[in-house]
Amino acid sequence: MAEKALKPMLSVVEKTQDKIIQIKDLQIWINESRILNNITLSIPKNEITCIIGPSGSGKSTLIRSINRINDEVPGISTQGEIIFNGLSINNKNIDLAQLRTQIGMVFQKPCVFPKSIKENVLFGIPHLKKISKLEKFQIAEENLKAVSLWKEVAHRLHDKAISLSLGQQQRLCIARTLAIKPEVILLDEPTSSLDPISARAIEDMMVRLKKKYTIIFVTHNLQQAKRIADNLVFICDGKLIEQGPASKMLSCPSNPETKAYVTDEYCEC
Amino acid sequence: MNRNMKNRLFYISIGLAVTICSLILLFLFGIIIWNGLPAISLDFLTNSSTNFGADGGIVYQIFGSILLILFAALICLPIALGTAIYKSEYLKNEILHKILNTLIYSLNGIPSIIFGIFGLIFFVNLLNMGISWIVGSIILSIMILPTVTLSTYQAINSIPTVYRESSSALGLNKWQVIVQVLLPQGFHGAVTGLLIGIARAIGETAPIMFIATAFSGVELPSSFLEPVSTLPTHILALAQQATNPVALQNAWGASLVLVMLVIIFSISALFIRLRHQSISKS
Repeated sequence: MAEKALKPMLSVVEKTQDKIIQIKDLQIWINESRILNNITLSIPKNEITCIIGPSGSGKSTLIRSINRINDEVPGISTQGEIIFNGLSINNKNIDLAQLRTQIGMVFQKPCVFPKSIKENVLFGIPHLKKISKLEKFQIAEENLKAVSLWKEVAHRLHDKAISLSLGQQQRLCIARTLAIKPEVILLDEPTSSLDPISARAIEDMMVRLKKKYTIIFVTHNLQQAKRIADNLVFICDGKLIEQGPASKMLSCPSNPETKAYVTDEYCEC
Repeated sequence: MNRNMKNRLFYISIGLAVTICSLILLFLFGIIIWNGLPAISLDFLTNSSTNFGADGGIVYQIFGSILLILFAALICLPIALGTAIYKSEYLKNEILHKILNTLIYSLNGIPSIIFGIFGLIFFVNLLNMGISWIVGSIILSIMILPTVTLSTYQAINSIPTVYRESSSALGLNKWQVIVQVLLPQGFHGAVTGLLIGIARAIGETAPIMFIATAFSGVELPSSFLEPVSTLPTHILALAQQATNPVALQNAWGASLVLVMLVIIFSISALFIRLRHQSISKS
């Protein structure tokens, strides 16, 4: 009897250990307007968590506070706590550069640096001068293969990255993020400026990559979330409406607002 | 008058404005080339001047002018870069931004003769540096500082935020973002501003005439604290001897050389700007 009672409790403990990021009572203001309102949620390890919601709901602000790239936004103030691997990242003394090598980020618009394709992949790697030529080549190859770009660019690694198509540029941006070996990858609507075929390529890549990385994916495209998400977080007007496994939230959401959104993409909040 | 007439009248008047504007420039160039070209010869460009500048060539004047602006550029560049980076990347306070802007524009508005007097009182007399070309370079660098600072600031500030965020998100510190991402992309602005600045500085007479130059008997300086001779001050000296036809012709020749130098700097600035525009558009 005692063993049976213990089992569910153990599984609860295991579950909390699997949560790589926990957000507690997060509130964000920009000047006088409140962008996020008491967000509490947790992100499981090695799964794809999609943050969905109408535009202007605070999805981007939420994901951008996880690697504190929001810090530079003028007039922003943050309350609450974000815990990554058991450590609070809101501590003033935290090494931001170190944090961002553990939590990588890919932005909405592909942004390659005016350098060669190879240099772009290696851009975030520290102490690049100490690495041998062969090693640099291997790093470039490994990460470009991971984003299925290797075949397309292997013969022209020294060409300017700007010569690639937008879809290829975005995959290069992901390769660049993978090269710094993060644990978590944040993607802020990474496919919204791409054509549907490039978008599908990136979706397939995410499903492949989740074995090694925890992926947090912001999208306003509900179909996309349905295709790739293990977990969904639904945000509307700065408030967390519901979070949970994607299968449950899509089939029988507990909240009527979630139901309206996942069926009609309509939200009244 | 019906609308069609008004339309034509408007078109004619703006056409006239453009014509006047172009004609003035062409007229000026025409006169300088017409009068200056006969004076130009290899001897004129490679010999030193004699008879208090009335005879001989202008090689030391060309050298002096280029030396002054070269060091002015070298002194100005780091200060302008630093100010531009601070203003663009670190200064968040709106009020301080406005104060800094006002200061930069005021510095730009100060008449050049005031710089000359300041140089004379502060560097030549108070610091006892004497009449020396390095004082001239320092004063010219202060004069072009606003142009170079603003041009660099605009180039750095117009780089989209996503570049700053993408590089910070890869774990780069702020100074790494500035050195590795912003400066390489914004450096053309500094160079453009520098070329426009020195195109202006090389023709300045008032700020350097009593602090950095001597009108005759000057050769290559052997230290920082010696006077040089420059093109604009040479032209000034020759123009004062207008009764001597040889001196006058040399003045026209020196003017032509000065104008050519200014044009070279301005056109290089234009090319750098155009080249960068085509890069950022592609």
